[in-house]
Amino acid sequence: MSNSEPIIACSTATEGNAAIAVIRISGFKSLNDLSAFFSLNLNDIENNKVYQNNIIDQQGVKLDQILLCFFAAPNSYNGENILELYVHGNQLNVTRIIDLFVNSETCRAANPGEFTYRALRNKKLSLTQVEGLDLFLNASAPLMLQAGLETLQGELHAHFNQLHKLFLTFRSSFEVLFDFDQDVGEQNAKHTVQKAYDALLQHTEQLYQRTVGALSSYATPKIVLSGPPNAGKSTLFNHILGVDRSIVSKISGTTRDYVSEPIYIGKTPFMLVDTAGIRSTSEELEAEGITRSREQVAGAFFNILVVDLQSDYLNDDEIVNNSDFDLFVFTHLDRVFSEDLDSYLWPHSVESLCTSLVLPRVEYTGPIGPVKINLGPIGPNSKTGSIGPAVNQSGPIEPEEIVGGPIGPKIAPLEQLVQFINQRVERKYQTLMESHPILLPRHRRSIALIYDQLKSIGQLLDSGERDISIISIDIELLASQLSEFIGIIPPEDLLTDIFDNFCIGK
Amino acid sequence: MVQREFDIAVVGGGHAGVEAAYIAAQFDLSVAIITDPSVVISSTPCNPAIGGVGKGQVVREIDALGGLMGKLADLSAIQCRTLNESKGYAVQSTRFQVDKEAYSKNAIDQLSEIDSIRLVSARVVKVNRLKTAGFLLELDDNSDLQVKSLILATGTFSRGITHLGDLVDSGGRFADFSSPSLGQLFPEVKLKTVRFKTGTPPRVASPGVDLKGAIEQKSDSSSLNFHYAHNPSDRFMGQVSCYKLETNSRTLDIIRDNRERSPLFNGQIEGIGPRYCPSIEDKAYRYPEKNIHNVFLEPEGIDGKTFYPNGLSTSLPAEVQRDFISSISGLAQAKIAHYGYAVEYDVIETTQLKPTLEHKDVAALFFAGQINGTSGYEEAAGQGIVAGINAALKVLGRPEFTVDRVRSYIGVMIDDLVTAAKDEPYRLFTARAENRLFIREDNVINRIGPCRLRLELDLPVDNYIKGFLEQYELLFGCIKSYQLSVTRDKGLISSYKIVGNCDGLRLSEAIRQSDLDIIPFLAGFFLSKGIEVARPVVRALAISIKYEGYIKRSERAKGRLEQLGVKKINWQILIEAENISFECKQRIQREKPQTFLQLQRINGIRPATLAYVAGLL
Repeated sequence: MSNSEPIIACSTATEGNAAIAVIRISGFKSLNDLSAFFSLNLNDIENNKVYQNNIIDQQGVKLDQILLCFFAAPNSYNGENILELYVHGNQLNVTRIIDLFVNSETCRAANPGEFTYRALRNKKLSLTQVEGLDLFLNASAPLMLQAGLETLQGELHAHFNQLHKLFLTFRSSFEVLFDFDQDVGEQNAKHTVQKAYDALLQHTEQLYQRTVGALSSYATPKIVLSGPPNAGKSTLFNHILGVDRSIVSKISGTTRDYVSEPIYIGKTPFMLVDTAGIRSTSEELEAEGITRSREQVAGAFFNILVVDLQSDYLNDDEIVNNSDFDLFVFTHLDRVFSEDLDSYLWPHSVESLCTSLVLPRVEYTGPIGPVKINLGPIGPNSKTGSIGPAVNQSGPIEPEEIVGGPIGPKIAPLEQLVQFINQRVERKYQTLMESHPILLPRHRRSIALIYDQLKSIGQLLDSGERDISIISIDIELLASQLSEFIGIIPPEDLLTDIFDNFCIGK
Repeated sequence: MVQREFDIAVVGGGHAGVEAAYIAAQFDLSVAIITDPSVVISSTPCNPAIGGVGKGQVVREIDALGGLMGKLADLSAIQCRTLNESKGYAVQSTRFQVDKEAYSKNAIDQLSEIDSIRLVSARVVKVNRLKTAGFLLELDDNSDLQVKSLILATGTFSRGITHLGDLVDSGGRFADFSSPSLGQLFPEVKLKTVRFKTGTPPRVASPGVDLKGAIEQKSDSSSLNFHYAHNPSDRFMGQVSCYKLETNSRTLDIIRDNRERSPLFNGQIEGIGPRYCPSIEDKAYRYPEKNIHNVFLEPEGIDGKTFYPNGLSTSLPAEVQRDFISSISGLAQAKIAHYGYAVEYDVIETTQLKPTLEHKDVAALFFAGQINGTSGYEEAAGQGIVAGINAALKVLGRPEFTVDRVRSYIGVMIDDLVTAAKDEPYRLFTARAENRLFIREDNVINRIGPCRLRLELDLPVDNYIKGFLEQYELLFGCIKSYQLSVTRDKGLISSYKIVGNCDGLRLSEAIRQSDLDIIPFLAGFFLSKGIEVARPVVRALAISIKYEGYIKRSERAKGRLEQLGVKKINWQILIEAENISFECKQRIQREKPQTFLQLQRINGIRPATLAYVAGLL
């Protein structure tokens, strides 16, 4: 992929017929090299202007009437001479035209991503931008589109450059300790190092914050229903989907493996997952199902715990505290006298539940029956939807705010619960988008590594390690990681990794 | 007309020239040092100190190569210090304040003991290349000198101009003479030159100096001598102290108020000065918010008559110098013995030289010292010894001699000089070396000894090196394999705090423990076993073992970055490239980097440019 001979490919979709297809030729020395295939003279055409022309084959037979546009090097997408042909989008026609150039050995068929590879090579795009482009072109969710576009437009690249700059400042201030502290005074020199370190750490921390909390599978974010057996997960699942997909029965342990279905909430595609009830079991098949349930919970974007109020499950602090549940749905309230409701909720030390609560909880009576929704911070009389403050509330929510006194007779239909869940999911997704998470796995890995390395350097600085030449080794390591991260060290294997994902013609 | 023949002529009797002559004579060749009668041999016209961060290593490297500087420094030392003492062994450096007069006298004594070195008091008027090989030097006393190898070490004298306020005079030093330009000396050879400048502070006469408020820095009796054959802690002269003072806002105000009278800033001086040894004007104008700068009062001799106020280099007019000196607390009543001044001079573009310091196009013509654009006595001497060795090898028809940048600061310096043109005086410091954990003072015999042995001279230093290395190898193996035993090594273990279980602990592991005082510990070990080991060997062993793991880690840390760093780049292509920003191109053009590492080190080169260049490799 490293040579620069002329290449050709169709840059629009290559399946099915369309009105127009765009064929791109890149890397030719002069338009003269291509003139044999056009009926009208190419010598007079100006850059960046569209002209009508005809494609002719070697016998002079007209193949297609087309529009073309010439982008002269270096002011083109990839810095090379590029000729774009807007041809009729019949696949047979497209293939015939490409074959014409390839068979005459005027051009070679481009490899996937080769146009962009050349843009990277000619410094038209940074490595980060290429990665952003990859993300953008392959996006299956709004978050990916957003992150891809921002990255492509250089938002991250600018941050990474800043990171590099701050690092160089830090490193040179550190070097002063060795060579010039006589000139500037040791206290001064140390103060400068600390200032430079703090600035670098702060910037790294900001980047790091954008890598935590983002989803593990941003391409298809999952909404996972979990909880003890026979709590009504499958019932809720079918309701959210609007079809009977999961088998519902009164026998606990009905769902043996997780069931998932794609759904749209707003404009975002999600995967809704119904899991096997989690309990201790000796049965091998069920145990396997439970393992899978836990995996689903761990990889979820939105976790809903569905639980029978009378269930022992709520007493299991490990389960309740260790998972980041976004929503609690209490079921089978019909089995409890309403005046006893408080006594069921309170003993479960609502406070300890709250530590793992990100969003207010929902109480729901069911399985199918009427729904009672308590909107946490708002109190008993609120309706669904009009939800109060801070969705991303960290720290424990005050208990009285959650249960909000006696639970009134306000009854909402099941549909309202579904709507409520949808809103919550949408809101969380929106919040996530607003936090501009860094999605690319390579970036996330590198930033975490750099952040760790920087913190360990900070510890050495704080510890009063006197042999500063030892600290300088860690700084060298950081330099190495940073250089690889921002593409100063060409990431050999990575290049193929990235460009493998590209489609031909990009 | 008198005509004499020598194997080698060295023009200039400064630190580079003397070192070159001293080593060349060890090859049993006849050497002439040609200096102007008015110039003192091995003079220290600026700071009267030898050594310093990075530079101390160079002095020891010169010593291990059989050079003179370390010996002279020891013999003339009047205040000794170990810099960076608390910052780890790797960056520790020795620095000796010397008695200027004694230093020069010791140099003359040492040289006059060598029969094959002749001091010729004259100026060179013209150099002719001989058709056969070698050069014919025309001297101003109407004699000619025919030589096979020629070393130019003329310091700042080539077209030297001094500036003291608006007092402009020709001269390599104040009230001195100036040599003709290299073009006049070598009418047949085209030499590319650049203009540099450097400066020196006023000297303060000691009567009237009030040291009550100053911080005294006493001579450190634990600092180790440079010369291998000297007992490490012997002192040959009485010891005195240095004193630390500070500037204040009045000092800086005076300097700022006279900005227009500073030749550095009013355009009178065109040469570029050293960023790393700034004048007080530089500090005043560049850091307008900072008024307190350190001033170290360093005695210029054991007689204590004058002080060198380190940190106050200046070219301001005499009355301004008087004013700002007297504004400094402690110097209010002090008289100025000599005024500070700046000097502009020609240096050659060192990219014209080979790593042997021989000119690429003119065989047997060598350049060393400040004429190569370096700053510092140690840098000059380090080049002098390499040029001297190679001038001798040239005469003898033997293969060239170079020292690697991975094993010495001399190697780092010469590599930096010959691979990239400099736009300011070059000073060594530890950051210039890629592996400063290895290029230490303690292991200089391990690093440089084998290079010296390659010269096959079989002199006392060679015997010392062989003995040192033999003992080192043997004991290194012992330390690696020896396991401490709570019964056998009871005494040792109880005197040093060793963390954890000592029984069966390898001696090398114990040495790696961070809070162990490793040198006395290892010395104590050898003593307890009844093995007699020389102190420098114990020191080198202990520190080498302590750093062994770190050096490996450091190599891993650099990994691919290092591999990339050594790759050659073509800067001419880069400044033509369409994809590099104008700003980056300007910087590349100025620094002319030859390797990726050099490019990386240029201030302000964007990561995108680095990525682009890396992609081309």
